[in-house]
Order: sequence, then C-alpha cells, then structure tokens
Amino acid sequence: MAIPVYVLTGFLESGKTTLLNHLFQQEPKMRRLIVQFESGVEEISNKTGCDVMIVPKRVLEDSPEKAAMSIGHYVAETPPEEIWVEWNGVTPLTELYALFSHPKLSGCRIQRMIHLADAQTLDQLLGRTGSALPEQIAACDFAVLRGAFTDAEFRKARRLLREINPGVRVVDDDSREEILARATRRKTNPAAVFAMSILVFATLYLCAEAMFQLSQTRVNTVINIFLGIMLQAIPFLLIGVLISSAIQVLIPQQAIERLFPKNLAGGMLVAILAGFCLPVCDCASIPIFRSLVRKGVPLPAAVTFMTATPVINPVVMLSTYAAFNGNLSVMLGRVGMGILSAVLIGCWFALRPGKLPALSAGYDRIMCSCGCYGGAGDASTAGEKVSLLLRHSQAEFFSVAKYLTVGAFLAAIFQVAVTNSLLLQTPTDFALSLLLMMALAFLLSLCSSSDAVVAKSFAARFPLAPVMGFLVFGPMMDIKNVLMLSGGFSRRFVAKLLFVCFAVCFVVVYTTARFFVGG
Amino acid sequence: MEKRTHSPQALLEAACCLSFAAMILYLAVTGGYLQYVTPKTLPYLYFTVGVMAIWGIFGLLRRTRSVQKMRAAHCLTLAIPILLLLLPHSAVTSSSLPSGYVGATNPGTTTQQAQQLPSQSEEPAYGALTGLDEANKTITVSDSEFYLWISALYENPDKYDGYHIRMTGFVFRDSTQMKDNEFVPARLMMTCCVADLTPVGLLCQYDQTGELKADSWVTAEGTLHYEDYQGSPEPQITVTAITPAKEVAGYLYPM
Repeated sequence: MAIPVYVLTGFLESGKTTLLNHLFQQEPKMRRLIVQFESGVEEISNKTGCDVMIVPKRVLEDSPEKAAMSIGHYVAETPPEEIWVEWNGVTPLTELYALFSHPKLSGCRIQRMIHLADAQTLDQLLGRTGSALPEQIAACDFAVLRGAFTDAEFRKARRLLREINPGVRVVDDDSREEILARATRRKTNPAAVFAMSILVFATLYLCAEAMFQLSQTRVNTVINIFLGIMLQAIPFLLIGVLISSAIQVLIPQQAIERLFPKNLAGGMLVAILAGFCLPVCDCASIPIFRSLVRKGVPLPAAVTFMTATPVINPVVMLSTYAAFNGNLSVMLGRVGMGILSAVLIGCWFALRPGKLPALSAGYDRIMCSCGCYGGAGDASTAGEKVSLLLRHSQAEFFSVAKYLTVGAFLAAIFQVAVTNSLLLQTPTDFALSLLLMMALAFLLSLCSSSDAVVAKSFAARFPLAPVMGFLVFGPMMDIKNVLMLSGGFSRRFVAKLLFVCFAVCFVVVYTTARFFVGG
Repeated sequence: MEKRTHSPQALLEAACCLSFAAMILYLAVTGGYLQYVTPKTLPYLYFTVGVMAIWGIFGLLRRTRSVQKMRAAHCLTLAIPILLLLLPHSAVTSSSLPSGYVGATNPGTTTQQAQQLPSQSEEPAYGALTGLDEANKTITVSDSEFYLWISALYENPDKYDGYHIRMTGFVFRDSTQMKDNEFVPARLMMTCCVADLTPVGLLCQYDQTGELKADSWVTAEGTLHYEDYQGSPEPQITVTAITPAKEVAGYLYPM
C-alpha cells in the first residue's frame, strides 16, 4: 500500500503553513509527515503533532537526487501514514514529479494536488509570475481560496482560477472538514468514467432502439441532422484552429502590435480585407477571433473581423449567388449589409469599450489549455514550433469543439421540434417577420456556406427583406457560435456581443428595406 | 533525472483522434458519408482524416511529464459522433422530415432550386442524358439522372414541350401551396448537409391525387407541358398513369 502524498501548492506567502496548522490542529493525531522546501514566516505548530522535514530549496534545485534520498531515508525509517508537501508557486511541477518518481520514493504516490490562492493577490500574480503558477492551478484537483472577504471577491477569484482549470472546485479556507474530506476522498479514474459513460450510452441506445424502434422516430432525424452538422463543421473548425494556432505560435506579439493599424478605420479595413481573403465559415472565425484578441488586436477590429468573415468570404458569396439562381442583388445585398453591420458592431465596441476586458487580465501571453504555459517564446527551433503548433491546435480543437457538439445537438433538436410551430403562421408585419427570421437563423445554426439554400426556401413564404435578415445575422451569431464564444470569454461579454449583433443587424436590414428598397 | 512518460490523457486524446480518423476514412471510402453531407465535402473529409491522424500519431509519440490531473470529458466531443455513427440509425426519409419544414417546397421553391445549376457548366452533361427517345417523343427519367433531367427540362422549354415523361419519386403534397389535384413526385435534395434536405420534383396534375398516399413511392407518367410561374416557364406533368414503385435510396446532390 503506497503512502499517499498530498501536495499543497501556492505562491510564496499565500499561507500554506497557516492552512496546514489550521487543518491539523484538531485532527485525530496520526503519523503525518510534512515536507517543506522553504521556511516561511509561519512555522508548523507543535499542536498538529506532525513530523516536519525541511529540505532547503537550494538542495532541491542543485541536487534533487539528494533531496529524494533524504526524504526516502526518512520515510523508510519512520513510515508515516500520509505525507503532505508544501510546494511553492515558483518551482515548476516537473521537479515535484521528478522527485516522487525517484526509486527511493517509489512507496509514495501523489494522491491530490491542492492549490491555495489568495484572492487579494491572485490577479496580479498571474500576470507577473511566469508559468509555474498557472501550471499549478491547472494541475490542482481543487483549490482553496483565502482572503476573499466578500462574495464578489470570491466569485472573481474563482473565475480566474476556472479560466485556467475549467470547472475546478473552489473551497473557502474556513471549511476545514471539506478540505480534508476532499483531499482524502477516493479518487475516481476519469478514463474509467469515460469508458463507463460510453458503454452506458451505447447500451441505453440499443435498448431504446429495440423497444421503440428509434430509427422510425424523430430521434433518428435528430441524430442524422446532428451528424450532418458535425461532419460539415468539423473540417472548417480544423482549418480555424490551425490558422489560429499558427497566429498564436508563429507570429510574435510584437509584430502584430507593430503592423496592425492603430487607428480605428485602418484596423477595420484590414479586418474586412482579411475576412474576405479567408474562406472560412463561422466555425473557423471564432477560434481566430479568440487568438487575435489574445495577440492584442484591438477589440473593435477583431469583432469586425469575426462578424464579417462568415458573411463576406468568397465561398459564401458563391453559394448565395447559386442558391438564388444568379440573383446578383441578393448576393451584393448580403455582402453589403454584412460589411455595414460588421463595421457598425465594431464601432459600437470602439465607442463603448466597457470596463470588462474580454479575455481575463494579464494572462494573455500564456497559452491556455494545452499545458504550454511558457508561451510561444519558449519554442525556438522549427521542430519545437511544429510540435507546439500541433499541441496547441489540438488543445484548442477540443476546447472549442465541445461547444460545437452541444450547439449542433441543440440546433438539430430545434430543427426537428421547433421550426414547425414557428412557421405555422406567416406573420404579415414586416418587423415581426424580420425578427422571426433572425431568431430562426440563430436557432437553426446552419453553416454560413449552406444557409443560403435554406433561406431561399423561406423566400417562398416570406418577403425578401426578412430573409436578408436571416442571411446577414445567421452567420454572425447562432447557438453554436455563442457556445463556442463562451468557452473563451466572460458570459457578460458574449451576451453583449449577441445583443449588439442582433440590434445592429435588425436596424441595418430594416432601414435598408424601408428606405432604399421601399419595402 | 526528469522522467517523461505518456500521460493517460494524451493517450486517450490520441486514441479518440485516431478512431475518428478511421471512422471518417471509412465513411469517405465507402460513400457512407453521403447520408449526412454532399459529395462536395469529400476533400474536406480527407483533410479531417489527415489532421486527426497527425494529431493522433503525434500524441502517441509524444512523451510528456505526467500531469496529475487527468481530464476525459472533452474527448466525448469526438467519441459521441463516433458512437452515433456506429450505432444503428437509418437515413432520413420524407416521412420523418418535419413536414412543412422551411416551407418545404411549394412548387415555386422547387422550380427555382432546380434552376440553380449554372447552365453552361452542365451543358455537356445534358448531352449524355439517357432515356431520351426523340422519335417517340418520350423521356424515361432514370433515378440517377433525376436532378439533371429536371434542370434540363427547365432550361429547354421549347425542346421538350409535349413529350411523354416517366419519373419516380415519393408523393409530396403541401395543401397550403398546391391545388387539390396537384402533387409532386419528389426526391430529397441535399445541398450541404442533412439539415437542409428539401423535396424537389415537377408539379403534376392528377385527378385522383386524393387517393395517393403521402410519402409512398410512385412512378408518374404523363405529358409534359409548361406553365408560366413568376415570369418563367415551369415544366409540369399532366399525369396519365400512376404505378407504385420501389423506394429509391439516396439523395439528390446539386453540383
């Protein structure tokens, strides 16, 4: 039976020792060994009844062999029931793993990683302290938060932590029992859970198929539409994440800062030209948008790029032209209104920047989810760059694709269940039918390279102008886009973006139809 | 003394990528993908296979420092499509389409969709159309040329007016758009993916339309004539005979 090792990580002075004292003072005494690699202001109190071993940081850094030997020696002589390690926030976790994979310590297994964060300093520390801290946050099983005096502070710090370690459980440092319970609880193996859930799903599906002839029902249609959307969208999402990773990895931040036009008009012009040149649909433009914002492209220009690309790129223009049997005015109208809306949406964000930064503060240099916390600067040779590119694109694919999956599924359900009742009566009021068309565009979540055909079939029941609303708004925003955006941005920002896009598209299409076409 | 090992998460990701690549490759090679997307998607599917395979192989070769926290949930994003593709389900048919979806084709819609084929590029294809018997003025539309024939009929109103024509489709009726004696022997057309399936066909006048069962497959026979629809001639059939037919598998794909 391996001796469990619990690792408490946290930046210097974050209160690791204080927390340990707090945890163990009233606990039933057992043979605990606490290993510290530095001695801070606070010391482990005698009341805890724990053995304390201090390995100077110098020893760990200069001769990790010796550090492993001395811990191993101690453990062999007086075997503890559990080992707690205080690991400070500037030493990479690699050294920790290396230490405990030493043969001398083969009897010990790292069981849990707990990160202790100080709500007051977390935000600043993340921006300044390099890659070790985010790495520790990403690796922890749960986090303990201290110094949060109000609910708002607690939520803010929790959001920061969850940006690095999505969905991580954050506990207040007062809840002693919970911390101990969580630390010592038996661990479930995610791979086993994964395999189990797949098995359960397959079994349930087969049972349902045998009992209700699933393939004769609407469920079958939902599955087909879901798979259709996925097969259609995944290749474009791949193109998107490859381009966006290339931006992240290959283009140095300084280059973008230097070359990207500083003024609003220039920035938007570049955004629209780039949108025209990249034949990508909305699935691809969102990852690119995210990496542009990370790379410091001004938000108005980036928003313009994201909203313009799916409407104005050549593939979409061609498919629109073809779907409306060579009706040039529909295509030009779509492109024109798309550009106008995108520019207006960009202007909105230029005029009202809002106090909330889109991506969380001070953390933009650090690569998000792929574990390459050092950022692009670390990779210097071509081989390293390719490796980083592959790793980063794969991580980004997984982080965006899960929202695509949910979005495609919702859209498939909507297509089968809702459109019927929505379309039962054709409203005669212009504004109402425009609203209805835009809502449909949002719910159906069609790929922008194919939505023209569906729009065309709406044109039989609706006048052309509301259908233009469908064509302009649909590619910019829909269920799957909103979900994919919420993977990288705060909910408030996504809601604002959605609202602005909707309002601007509505106004643009409405005024164009009323005053220029005379509809 | 840094020890590098395979992290279980990277292995799981690699396994998902490789199985996804294999699944897509299988669909692409066997043509199974046509149930979900159009032939236009094929190069993109091969591209997907390539990227996924590279990711998978790269993930297998890569040895990382072990990461304490393993995540698996995100792999469902590939596992769910693989699973759904493997589990039994059937192709969407007209009867399982939500009826009336996207104004599901009144004749006006079908006509104009049928026209979206750019004529010049398809000219040679028409020459190769089979089933044309000019001596007897008859056209027998084979199932594989359903879409091409409809396009040809739209584009050459003078040439085919008055021909005797046979074509097979399912009975499609939309009472809001059609008269009591009208129906369309239609096939489902996929423009991009299964989400945009729409019935396509020629409008038929047939006195016993009321006796036809919706979504049943029939071969309609009759005389071709042209009516004016929104300023352009639309081919229609005055039906003389209806015979039950076997279901035609597969969708139409405009190029």
